[in-house]
Amino acid sequence: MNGAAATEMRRAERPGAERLQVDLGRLRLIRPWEYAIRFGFGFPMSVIAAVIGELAGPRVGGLFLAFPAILVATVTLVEKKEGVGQAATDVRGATFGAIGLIAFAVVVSALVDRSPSLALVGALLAWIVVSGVAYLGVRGLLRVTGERQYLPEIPTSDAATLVGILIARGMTVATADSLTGGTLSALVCSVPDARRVFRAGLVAPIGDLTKLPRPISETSREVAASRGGRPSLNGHQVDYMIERLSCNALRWQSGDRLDLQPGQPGAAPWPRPAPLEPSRSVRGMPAVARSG
Amino acid sequence: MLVLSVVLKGLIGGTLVVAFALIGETVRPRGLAGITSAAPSIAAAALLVTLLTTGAASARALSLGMIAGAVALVVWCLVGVEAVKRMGGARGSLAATAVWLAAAFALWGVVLQ
Repeated sequence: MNGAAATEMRRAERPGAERLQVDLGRLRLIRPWEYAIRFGFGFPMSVIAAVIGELAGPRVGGLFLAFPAILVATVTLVEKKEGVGQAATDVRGATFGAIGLIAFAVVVSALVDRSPSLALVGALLAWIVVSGVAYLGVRGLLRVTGERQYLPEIPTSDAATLVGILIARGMTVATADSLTGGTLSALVCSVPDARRVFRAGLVAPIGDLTKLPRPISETSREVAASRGGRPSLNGHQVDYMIERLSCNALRWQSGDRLDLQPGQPGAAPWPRPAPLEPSRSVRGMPAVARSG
Repeated sequence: MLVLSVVLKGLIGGTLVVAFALIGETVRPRGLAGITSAAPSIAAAALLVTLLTTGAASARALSLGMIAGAVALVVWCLVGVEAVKRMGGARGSLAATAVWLAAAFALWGVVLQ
């Protein structure tokens, strides 16, 4: 086996281990309002910390130099762009940055009386080194201990909410997955009582709706019509069919209609079951609940 | 002079926040990029201006307070992971901020006073 193939095999054995990389091209994806939001958080937070320091003394002011205002803004932005899973991962990474921040403050306090410039430079280097070493250390430890991240960082509590509502209503669900490679079904099935509501799941190649079998949109529609309007998959008649999802985050609003384009497999209208408590806001993936 | 130093801290702090955020946007995986979310952008701005206007003694006092704040920030992150997953980005991080306030002032009261 040559070196490239061996590298790919090692990478395949660690499905959750994303490569460390720097991609300057991503800077082109940042919109001007994102700069504005970040500056909009940074400027007032710096001012507030300075004012607190003037009013309550420098030690209290120093407390607020580590106030998590920027983190709140960043997490909110990341969730909006990449989903709650990535936002949680960002917070996890920030833990190492916060540990580095302790080192930053310690170096400043130790060196600032002797050499202010050395203190600032040394503190910044300490933050970089301590944060980086902590991150790489934990990452390496996970690799050594054989930790695998099977499912992406998705809050399973959302699936528990869905399952709970379905159990309470006496309803069932099936999934037809063309965007998450089976993660959708795995997420629902991760809930201990899921067997009471989950009937069937279908996985198509990611992003390729044409590979969804026609029976989902045609035969099942016919079956649904003959059986009084309930969708079915593989012979299992269900009350809800979860089909089209947001690719970036498994988010859903119970009872919402999906925006499939006409002519796409699964786009034929289904009889709409009673909505799942529309006043209750739950987070997960869009569910198919469309009326004919 | 006081107003000028406060505004200067704001301008430099805001700029550094944007700069570190840009670094975070180019780095992957997301966990590594998250390190820049806890970058010393506001701290660096405050310390720099303080050194130039007030001197080393004030900067040292700031850094001592910052140690307690940074420890509380680690607590924020540990709580924030679950809070964000359960409550969403905005609500989860705000809830974790309440924990930061409690931890920061507890540390300040016990260690720094």
